[in-house]
Amino acid sequence: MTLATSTPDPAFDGSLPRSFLRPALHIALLDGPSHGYELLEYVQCFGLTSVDLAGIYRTLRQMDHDRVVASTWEASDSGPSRRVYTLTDIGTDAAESYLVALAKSRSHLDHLLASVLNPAGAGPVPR
Amino acid sequence: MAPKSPALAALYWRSEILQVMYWLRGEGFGDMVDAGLLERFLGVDAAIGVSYLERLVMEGYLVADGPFFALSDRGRAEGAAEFASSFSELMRPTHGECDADCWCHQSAEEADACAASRRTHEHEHDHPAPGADDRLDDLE
Repeated sequence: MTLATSTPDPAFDGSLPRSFLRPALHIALLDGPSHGYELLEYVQCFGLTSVDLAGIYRTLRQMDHDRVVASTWEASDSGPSRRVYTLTDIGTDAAESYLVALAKSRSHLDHLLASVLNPAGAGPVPR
Repeated sequence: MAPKSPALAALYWRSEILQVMYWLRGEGFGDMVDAGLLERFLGVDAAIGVSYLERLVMEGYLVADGPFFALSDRGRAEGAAEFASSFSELMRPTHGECDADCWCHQSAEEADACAASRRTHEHEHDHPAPGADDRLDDLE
């Protein structure tokens, strides 16, 4: 069997689900403090192309509320102050948990694809 | 979720709108917003959002330019780093200045009434329930 390049599901635009946004933001912030637009570019590189700045803003506000990030206004000599986000200790732990969960998800997805593309060699379902 | 009390709701949306405007300004998107943008960023219905935008114009925080709204000098001045945190205490159901048994913990409306009562009776620290002053007066 080969996979079709287009999808008949009108609700699926080919991009990754938006529910990856929060894990992606956690992982982006593992690299260090960042601000909204930079984080948008980062998650779009992950394939989250349907995410816009409003989604980033709302998710960061919720993460701030949940205390997984801390945010401060960073003064600038050349322009207005910018809101900068940093992972808290809780947020760093969560980011590492997300990495483990994503690795496990990838393993399951690999198995799913293998079972479709090469049923004889798929092997047991990973745990 | 926005508070139900009109006074607290106005304070809440003032903070939310100004915060998103400061945030967008910091990200390099300028000062201008419209009701549609607020709907996308804050999840507030555009028809409701525009009423709060107009209220902020009347309060001097924004200036209107057709369907768009920009921060005024006063609005920009309010964009100091501590803006959100300095108002967050006022937006919570409890204002953190009374004890755990105070009736103000029951709802945002009671918290608002308690805060108003505290402003009126700064030297009274027993936090009587609404109407309690009247009852005490009746006993005298």
